Amino acid sequence: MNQAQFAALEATQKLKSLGLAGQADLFSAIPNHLLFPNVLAPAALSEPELVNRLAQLAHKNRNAKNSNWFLGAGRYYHAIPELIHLYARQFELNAESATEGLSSNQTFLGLLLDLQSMISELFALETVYPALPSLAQTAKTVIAAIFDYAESQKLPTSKREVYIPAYLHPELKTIFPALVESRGGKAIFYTSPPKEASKALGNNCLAMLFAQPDFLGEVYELSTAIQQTHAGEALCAVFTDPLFLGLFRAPGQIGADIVMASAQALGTPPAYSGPQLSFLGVTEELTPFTRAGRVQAEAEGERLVWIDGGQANTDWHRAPEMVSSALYLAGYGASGLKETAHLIWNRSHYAASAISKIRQCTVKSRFFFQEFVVELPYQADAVSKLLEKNGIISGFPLSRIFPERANQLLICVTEMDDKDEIDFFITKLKELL
Amino acid sequence: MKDGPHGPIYSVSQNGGAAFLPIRLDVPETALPDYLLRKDLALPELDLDSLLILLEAIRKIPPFNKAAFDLTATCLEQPGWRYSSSALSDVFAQGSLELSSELGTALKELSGFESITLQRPTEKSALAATVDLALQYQKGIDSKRTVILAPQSLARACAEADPKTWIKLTALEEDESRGLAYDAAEEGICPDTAGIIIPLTSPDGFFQPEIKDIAELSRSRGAMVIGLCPSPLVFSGVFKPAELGLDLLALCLEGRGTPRQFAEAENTNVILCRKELEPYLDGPIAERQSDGSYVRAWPERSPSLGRFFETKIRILLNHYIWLYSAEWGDIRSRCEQATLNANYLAQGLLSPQDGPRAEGGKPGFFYSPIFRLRLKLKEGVDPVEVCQDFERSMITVRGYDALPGQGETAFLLACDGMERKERLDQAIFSIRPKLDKEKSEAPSH
Repeated sequence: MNQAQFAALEATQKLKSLGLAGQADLFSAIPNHLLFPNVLAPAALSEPELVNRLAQLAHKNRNAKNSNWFLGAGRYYHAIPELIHLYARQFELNAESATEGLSSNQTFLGLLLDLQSMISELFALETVYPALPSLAQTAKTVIAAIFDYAESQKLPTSKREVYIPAYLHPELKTIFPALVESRGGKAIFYTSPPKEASKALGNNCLAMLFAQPDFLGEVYELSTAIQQTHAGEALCAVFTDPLFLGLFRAPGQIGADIVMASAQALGTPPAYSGPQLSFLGVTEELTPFTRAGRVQAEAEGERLVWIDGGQANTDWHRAPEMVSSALYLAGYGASGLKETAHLIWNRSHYAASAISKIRQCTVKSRFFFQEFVVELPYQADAVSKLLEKNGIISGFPLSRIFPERANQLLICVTEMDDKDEIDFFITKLKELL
Repeated sequence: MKDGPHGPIYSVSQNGGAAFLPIRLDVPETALPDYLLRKDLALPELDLDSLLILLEAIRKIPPFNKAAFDLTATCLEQPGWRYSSSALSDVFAQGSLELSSELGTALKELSGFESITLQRPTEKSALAATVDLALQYQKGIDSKRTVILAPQSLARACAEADPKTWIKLTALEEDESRGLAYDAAEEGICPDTAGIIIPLTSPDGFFQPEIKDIAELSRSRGAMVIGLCPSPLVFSGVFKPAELGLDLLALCLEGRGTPRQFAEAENTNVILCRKELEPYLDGPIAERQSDGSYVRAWPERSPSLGRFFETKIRILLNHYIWLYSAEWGDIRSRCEQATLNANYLAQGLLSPQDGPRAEGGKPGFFYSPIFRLRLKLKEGVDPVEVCQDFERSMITVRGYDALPGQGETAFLLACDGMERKERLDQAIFSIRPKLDKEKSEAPSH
């Protein structure tokens, strides 16, 4: 007897105890002419058929495992040790009970506290919130903290301008202005390098956002920009990449007040997709205004508690990403993180250098980490499609976001792209052009 | 043989290194900008064993009674799901687009609507988007129509969803069991009303008997009718919501085999609508081309790169498996099973005189598998204990509220049709002794 037959048998017993002749009696409130319409429902499949069907569909997706993958643009293909995959997967699929009561589970809070202190070290900021459910939520929390701080300091109401880099990730870029405007502020985009843009700030600047590296992979010398922004009594917020911080100076070390980053690079596959777990760090001064959750010890060596800080939702179903990040940082440690970032630096610069030697190709980026922009002689979208036929996912055609950059391709090289793969990509690109 | 950067293989096991070894450098080094380098990073290099012991302690493997989980786990192991980047290119993501297209077609057929978008991350954002769509449509016809009507029970959720969208929201009185009354709607719908939101079920989980009449009234007065539905189990195979006269439907796909933790948070929500509203949908949805390939329809309306707004692939797979799996019978029988289980549970816990009440206070049946059970607990019984009893029997508790005036606690429960009779009886058996005596005289099962 299969599940359906067994359920039908049990249904008879349940109907009998309810005093009903048939299931249709349950729906007597629904007008008869609407009840049980003819539905051209898809044919149901047995388990092996379903598994096969989904395997066929999966096979139609080009992916980082079966291609030479140079695509980034916000989601990156990094190494994930099998151990992380194993534990994160158990939390993901058994989350029904595994995430139950996590907010009071001392062991899990201990793990989160470890994660918090590692991120705090990485950002070089005192207070870290390790469980923001998405970058959108992080952006919301940051803007709320900035404006609440301004109100508490009784700053003039005209001082409500927030400067946003034009090359912030496009989706964050669309979120920030709406958030700033909802608090009565004004969002201003800047395109020049941060050092230049921060020189020209007026008295009305409340905060300046920086992307390090930005959407195009460009890295900036931020310390002067942060000093200049602070000189105008404005706050500095930096959106960064946690792996970048394995090699380069942390924003907190050069005076940033707020640092935010996605956790995807730390042990989460690129197509995990959806809103990504994010980390937020703030200075002590901004801590009272930051409405997000974190772990705190009630006293030295005492019980740990989860302080939600007014965060609307703590999404414990993000536990797999929290576990991944903690295992990743603890497992690689400072030296592993540094070596990985170093490898990304070297491989991406090796690729850029080789591409720059191809006639008709110009590498537009000068000083970059992981991603760089290449100007091609033809439309990047078309070149990208041709390379795909050779199993190369060559990058992100920038025309999809910036129509004026029709021939530009954003190429991402991580530690997962080895020399042979890069060389193969260069050879095919040469042949094509 | 040359030594790698980590030394010869026989010395790798020596202590002092990180637990995970990074990949070796195989390209020439490029000079690093010294003034930007960090020299003091001091993350702990932990003995992973101690972390794993912690994780083992946290992790509890539950008994599975939901076949979909096992299948999703197996299917997710295909790199085509985990390591693709479906949001970035149609050409690279034919499998994901085909999956979305099949899901979309099936949901249109089940609901009776002609157009659909998938992948709104939360119920609130789906509702906000639906209202936004109605307002945009009305703007082109009559710019004075700017007010949205919603039953009281929704007003708070609406306000939380997006303050800008709900700037002109008028709450209508409703009865917890009967839902929205025709008279309240008739009084509320004015020349400035852009649309009215009507959940398919009342807050308690009964069919709203006047929903069709309200929809007709609303449309005759030029206002749009926006339906709201918490799960496809509410209607699949039983009736088509479009035939009730709705213009739009915000539908949450929770409740078809997805793990419980998705219930209150991230999920896949869809917006279904009539054909004439399609120009206002913002995607994404996949369309099949004449050559058999798939493209994302209206990419210009949804420039999202998927970083924030694309649903986790495991949720889409869960929906697909739920819809197509033959293991639990066809869709209609699963829907009927879920509703039957809801009523069986209710009858077991409520005395006959306090059993489910439908229209006019007559004894009736919960029409929805997502329903509210009002229980009077014995003095000293913590509602959390009752929730745990439900959970132990694999019955989803979506929340509970104390109703102080009536001395009762309302438990919001969800059945998905996969609960076995034995488990329902187990829940009834363990909860009944915790109920107030006069309410616990239920018929025996």
